[in-house]
Amino acid sequence: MNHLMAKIRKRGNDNKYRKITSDDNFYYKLPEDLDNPIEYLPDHNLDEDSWFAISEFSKKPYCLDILKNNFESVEYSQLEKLEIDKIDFIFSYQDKNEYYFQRVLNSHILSKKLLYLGDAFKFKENTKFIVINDIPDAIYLKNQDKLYFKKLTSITSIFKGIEELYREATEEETKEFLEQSFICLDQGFSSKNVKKSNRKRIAMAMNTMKNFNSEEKKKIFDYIKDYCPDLERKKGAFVVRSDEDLKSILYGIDQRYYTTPVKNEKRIANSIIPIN
Amino acid sequence: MGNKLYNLFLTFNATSLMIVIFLIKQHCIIINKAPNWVSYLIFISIPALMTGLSLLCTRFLSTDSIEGNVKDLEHANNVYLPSYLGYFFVALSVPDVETLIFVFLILFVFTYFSQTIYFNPLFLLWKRHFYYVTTENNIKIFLITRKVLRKPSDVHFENLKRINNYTFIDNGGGKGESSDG
Repeated sequence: MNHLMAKIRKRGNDNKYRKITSDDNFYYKLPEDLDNPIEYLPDHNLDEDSWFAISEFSKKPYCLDILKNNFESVEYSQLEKLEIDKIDFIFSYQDKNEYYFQRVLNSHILSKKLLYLGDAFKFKENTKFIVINDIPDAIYLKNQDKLYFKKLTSITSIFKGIEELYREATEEETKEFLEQSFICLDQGFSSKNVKKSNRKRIAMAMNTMKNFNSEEKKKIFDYIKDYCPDLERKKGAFVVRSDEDLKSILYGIDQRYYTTPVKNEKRIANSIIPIN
Repeated sequence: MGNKLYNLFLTFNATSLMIVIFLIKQHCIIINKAPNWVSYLIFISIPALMTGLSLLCTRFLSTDSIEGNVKDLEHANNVYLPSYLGYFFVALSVPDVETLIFVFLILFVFTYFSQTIYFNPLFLLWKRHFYYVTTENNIKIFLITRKVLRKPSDVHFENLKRINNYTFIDNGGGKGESSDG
């Protein structure tokens, strides 16, 4: 038997999971393209038919308790009508192994007047729906202990704390980064001008820089000079006038510039996966 | 909504024996020509049949399952007896119809809200047994079933019906583990 469950927003420590319905329906289908998932990398842009995966998910701090225990629907109360507007996310438990998650925003709950065209015509006012997406936001396969998903941002509200995998640098960290000796701010550029995507790159770049010794750092700066001749320099530091300049430096720290072995074309990798 | 009506129906079935006992005590007779016991049997059969009907109605309840993650199993057939004997004594000492109506209403309301309305001995006549089942996550539920369960590993139900969030009924046949006795 398969079960459709909801997690509701509620204060306190009471159980926040509710049962919506149970039957032999398969609420979601197992996607065919789950093989060869990519172990989650924040700087990888996913192809359309591929998935990110997190292995040994049950050991992660952001794994839900409900996934760690065996599932029994009788342990949960029935969802009440009044709780419909408080649904945070829904998930289905299928085939004793698969969990499919879908977040539910207020905009996902449709309230419509409805004319039912069946054996008998019926008019229903204020009918509420949640549309079950073809592709769920996340899939957890218990026998593999793997969580599959396509977009981290759409599951951060389900798995609290998972955003640590791809976090933005805080205002202070951004300031600290911009104050480093190899950066020279110009034309009033400050941490306030740093946009979201660069803040994420800064968080990653800071990690990368930590592991560099001074020689490696020098190598990296030479490498950036080689590939970004337009980037101005003042006393050896890169001049940052815009978010775009900053991006060039951050790409450099991440070593995304490369030259093709044939024809020597210079390129930027906008998505990377380490091989091996 | 349907669930609430069903629960009211179950409550009525569970408490109606009190009215039956009162009618017998008052020597009420509905068929004049027949001996008294014929009328008494008719009185008793009404709640028994209604309980049977309530079992048929379970098909309209929402479905659940227990997949076998059960830690503990406790037989509960005898739990209802003390409270039921209480009902009987009350019915025997009620002097008139007016008192009966009020006492019955009070009992009805409490039984309904206590959610233990399913401790109805009439279920035994329909060969149902009561069990407390504790799941691996220490959630205790009340289970009504035809099956005779002995070990936690026997507790495996694909088609349970939910009466309320703590009470579930299995209306399947007595197949599976069933060493009666």
